Amino acid sequence: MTLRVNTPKKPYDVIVCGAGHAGCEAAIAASKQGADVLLLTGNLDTIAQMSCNPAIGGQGKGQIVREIDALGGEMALNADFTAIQFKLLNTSKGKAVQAPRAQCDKKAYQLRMKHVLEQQPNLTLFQAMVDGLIVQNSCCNGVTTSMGLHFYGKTVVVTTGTFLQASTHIGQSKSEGGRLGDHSAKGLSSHFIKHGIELKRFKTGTPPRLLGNSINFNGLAEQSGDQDPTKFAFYDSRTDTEMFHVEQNRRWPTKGSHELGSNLVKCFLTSTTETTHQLINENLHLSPLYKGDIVGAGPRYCPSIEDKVVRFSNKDSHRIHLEPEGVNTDEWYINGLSTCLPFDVQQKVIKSIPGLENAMIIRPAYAVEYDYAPPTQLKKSLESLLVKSLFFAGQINGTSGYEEAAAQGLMAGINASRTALCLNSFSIYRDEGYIGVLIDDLTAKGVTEPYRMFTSRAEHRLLFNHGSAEHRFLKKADIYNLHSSLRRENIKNQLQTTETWIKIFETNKSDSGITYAHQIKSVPEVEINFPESFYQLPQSVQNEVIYRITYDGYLKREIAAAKRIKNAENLEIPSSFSYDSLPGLRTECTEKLNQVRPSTLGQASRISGVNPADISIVHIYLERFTKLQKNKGD
Amino acid sequence: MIDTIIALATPAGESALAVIRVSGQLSNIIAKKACNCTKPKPRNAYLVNYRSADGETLDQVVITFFNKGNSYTGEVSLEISCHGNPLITEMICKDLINRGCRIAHPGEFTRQAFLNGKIDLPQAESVAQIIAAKNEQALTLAQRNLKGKLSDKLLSIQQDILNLQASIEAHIDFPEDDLHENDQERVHQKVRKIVQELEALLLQSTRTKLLTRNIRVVLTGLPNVGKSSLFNALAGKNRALIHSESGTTRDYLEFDIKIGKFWITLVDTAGVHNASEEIELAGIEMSLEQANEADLFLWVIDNSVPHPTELPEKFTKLLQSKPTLLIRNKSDLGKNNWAPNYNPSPKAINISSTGKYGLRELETLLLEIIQKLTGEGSENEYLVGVRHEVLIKNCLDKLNRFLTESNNEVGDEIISMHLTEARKELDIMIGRKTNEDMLDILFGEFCIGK
Ligand SMILES: Cc1cc2nc3c(=O)[nH]c(=O)nc-3n(C[C@H](O)[C@H](O)[C@H](O)COP(=O)(O)OP(=O)(O)OC[C@H]3O[C@@H](n4cnc5c(N)ncnc54)[C@H](O)[C@@H]3O)c2cc1C
Ligand SMILES: Nc1nc2c(ncn2[C@@H]2O[C@H](COP(=O)(O)OP(=O)(O)OP(=O)(O)O)[C@@H](O)[C@H]2O)c(=O)[nH]1
Ligand SMILES: [Mg+2]
Repeated sequence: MTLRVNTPKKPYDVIVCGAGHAGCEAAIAASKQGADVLLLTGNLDTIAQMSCNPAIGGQGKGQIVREIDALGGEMALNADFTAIQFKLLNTSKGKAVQAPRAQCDKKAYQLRMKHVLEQQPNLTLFQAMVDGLIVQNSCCNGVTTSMGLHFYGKTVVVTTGTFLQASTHIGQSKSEGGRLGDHSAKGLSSHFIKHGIELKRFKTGTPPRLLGNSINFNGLAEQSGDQDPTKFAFYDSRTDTEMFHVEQNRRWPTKGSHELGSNLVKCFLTSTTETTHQLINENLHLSPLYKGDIVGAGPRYCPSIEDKVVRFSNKDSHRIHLEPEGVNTDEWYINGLSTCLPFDVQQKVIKSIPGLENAMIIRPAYAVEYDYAPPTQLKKSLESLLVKSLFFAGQINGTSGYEEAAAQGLMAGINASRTALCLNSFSIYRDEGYIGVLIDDLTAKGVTEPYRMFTSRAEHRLLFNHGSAEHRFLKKADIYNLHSSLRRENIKNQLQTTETWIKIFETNKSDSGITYAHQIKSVPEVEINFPESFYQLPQSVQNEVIYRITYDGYLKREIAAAKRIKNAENLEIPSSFSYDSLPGLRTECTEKLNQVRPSTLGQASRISGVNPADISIVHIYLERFTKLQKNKGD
Repeated sequence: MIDTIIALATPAGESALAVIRVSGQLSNIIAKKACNCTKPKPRNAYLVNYRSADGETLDQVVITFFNKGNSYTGEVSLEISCHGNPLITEMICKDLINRGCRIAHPGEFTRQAFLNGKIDLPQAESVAQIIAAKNEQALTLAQRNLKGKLSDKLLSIQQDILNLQASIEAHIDFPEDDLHENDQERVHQKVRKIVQELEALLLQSTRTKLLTRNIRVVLTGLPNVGKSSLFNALAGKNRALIHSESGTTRDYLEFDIKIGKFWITLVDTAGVHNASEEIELAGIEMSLEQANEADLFLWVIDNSVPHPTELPEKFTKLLQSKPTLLIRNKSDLGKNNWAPNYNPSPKAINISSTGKYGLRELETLLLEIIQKLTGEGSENEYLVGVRHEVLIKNCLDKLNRFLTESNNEVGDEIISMHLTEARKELDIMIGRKTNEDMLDILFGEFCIGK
């Protein structure tokens, strides 16, 4: 195995730039497809680093992680094996929107992922800063690095996160870098612009980190995890070797140091005070956000504390969660206190909070501003519309969040490798899962703020309960070879068992004289005496049976609704199709379509301001266009 | 599974025949269930009774069935020719909707025809233009129909639902934020309020009013001009007292008659004049009260004598406020042909109630006026009307379903689903709201961000 430097005749199949959450998944997925992969990253010590909160999952995101697992990705296993506290969210609400979340050991998470990359066949890992693209005839076939090395690849996946032209802000102080203390990627932006790729700016921020032994936890509300953790990965379908993965490798250092699904730590709850708010109001003029030094739009769902205080002045207190960053460190993450106020103000703000009176900041809060490439410039496969063989995934596409990044990485990795191997592209549709919604929203609608998944974005979210991910993607996993044949067989059997039990419950009556199905729908399941053999089934199968019976009527409705829109939905609009001068199409609509360039008729129909009659017109011309193309080809 | 769509193929209104086209899978079932015609031979005409899902015979119709590939659209189709009366076509359309069809979007039939290769490629351009034109027309009609109060009301209801959703979604998607408890009773209360508003809206709409209850036709005029005589003549029965002395009718009298397909309540009232006698005065007040309820006035005058120009002001004002038909009665005795000097002058007709002439013409004229009143203009106007009514009703159904189905056992995501379904019905009328709109409210209203 040698590093192939400057070998245009022997290109890699896929070159991935940046080993963040997107880059790791991209590289692993591509090599699993059989591609020969090179993963370049600026610093091997920051592989899969959680820039912000050391937690995986949460609402909308937890479901994505399970989907990643169902598609053969790594994030779920990595989170499970390095978790220090698990929590299932929304247990008091509907089952359809329950989501797993876990606090992870930040360093352990990185190390394990690094080790997975190291032992992955067909994957070469190398530390290098990418500073340019090698493009010929609008087709990307390699990258250059700051050391002057040239690497050639049939496809290139860019997963540089928050690093493009990045600057960090703490009050007046401004420095370059995608994270505090990290580098900034410089040459790349101008290369993108040169090839017609538009860039825009976003910002995000992170709270200060404190030293644990300077925090007074007495009197703060404790938050412990679930006794019976809900893990991200699906284990019932896995074989032992798949289950333990790198943990079986003797060289993996933390084997045995903590167990899968452990609940090692507690989190704590405190809140801001009147003094906090007063301090913030008095110093608002020093925040680069309010001074206008930061121009990029930030996420509304993740506002800085200054935003919260200003916009919700009627609230006299905001919650603050104290979360440990790991078991081998005493660094604590102060959730809810993201800010870019000057450091001295940060110190005063911290001291105004109960429990933090004497707390010491060991890493200041900051905001980061960076370039992103509006994702409407991408195909559904995440390949650029402008430069062939160039793929984009992760935060560079205007998203935010580890899970959103990883999901895109997975999709881009599979597609880049399939392109390199001359195979058809892989896609997931809106009615199949959150990842489908994510990709479709990004490529069809674009973003106006850093995009995060919300369950409300999925019109068929009842079909997307986290437990069904493996079943939902079984067919795809089959076609695209995403799992070992044994795992596929196991999922198939489980799906069958699930369906058999649903039938049994729909027909068989329990002691109380009504069918089990009827009972499940009317009383809490704990009060039902199921047949003994039901309890022998894997827990995941039991859950799925109950879920599908409880939601039976609704699921049928959703499936019918999804089917109805499916016909036109998947009709592809070739990128060469022009909306200009389509008779009858309103100018306003032409503009919108030109701007978004939807890749299917379904995407087109979801663009605001485009009505059914417009779709009819587009549909007709599309049909004519494809027929003419075909005739030309014949 | 493609929707079965319906549309009127002939312009509605005064035509003798109307053709309703049904395109899609349900065509077979409709032929069988509504027309009692199992396995009709394609392209053969059958004379059958059209029965609604409630079992009522709506009309005698001629149906023609078309196989897939051999119809206008290329889908399985059914053409129903019924009588040209708009009320009949409307009832049939409503029944078809009840049976699962939906009204076609502008140009949808032509589009299907094109996509199924029934119209060839070079024609695509003209097809698109037709769709664009029809869309334009439908939009302006929709706007016209919706202008003012109705659309304002619908917009505010749409907003109310969206607000409600924002608060529910905030709780679903941000479980770790400290939001106030989302209590179901409050949601129910709000939904109940929205239901009430929609119900009121449905009642208020003149169209619906005219279609769900009889049309009130009030006879009015000076004493002794022959109002009661005309009332009896139209009723075909001697219900009202007739006398050569004026002031015979003191109370009001009602009688239901049917003209065409419309049920009409005829109301005979006391003659109006600058009265002196107290009991008569009371009667006049009463007839003015009746006048307020009227959909249409028949203003009866005595054509054989010159018209006394002085009329109570209250009275003329009333006449101008509603559709009025001027009846010059006693034309057998003379023809002064007086008309009031205000603009526009009401339509007038010469008749004789006792000589029984002009009565046929009067009925025809009445039917025409009533058809206009019920809004039966062009095809599109008519469809827009039905469509809105159906959509408001659908929205109500879904909200009611929400109220009955949701209790403490039901998750927030189900509650939200019901609300989305209800809101979508309004979206069709007044423009789509997206999840982004909901998120805008959510982030504006709730302090999110752990
Ligand atoms: C300050 C801050 C606060 C954040 N706050 C939140 C939050 O509150 N909630 C949330 O969900 N998300 C937050 N995020 C975002 C989250 O960290 C990202 O969404 C996620 O990490 C994106 O993953 P990625 O793989 O796209 O990129 P990153 O994780 O940024 O990884 C990019 C990788 O590429 C490498 N790289 C960059 N440029 C080059 C180059 N030219 N050559 C080689 N390697 C390169 C970097 O070294 C890095 O390893 C925050 C990020 C930051 C920096
Ligand atoms: N020649 C002739 N006489 C008529 C005609 N219509 C009504 N009359 C006579 O006119 C008189 C008044 O008729 P009514 O029908 O009682 O008049 P009215 O308007 O109801 O009178 P009030 O109830 O008193 O206001 C009666 O003697 C009728 O016979 C008509 O068309 N021709
Ligand atoms: Mg009378």
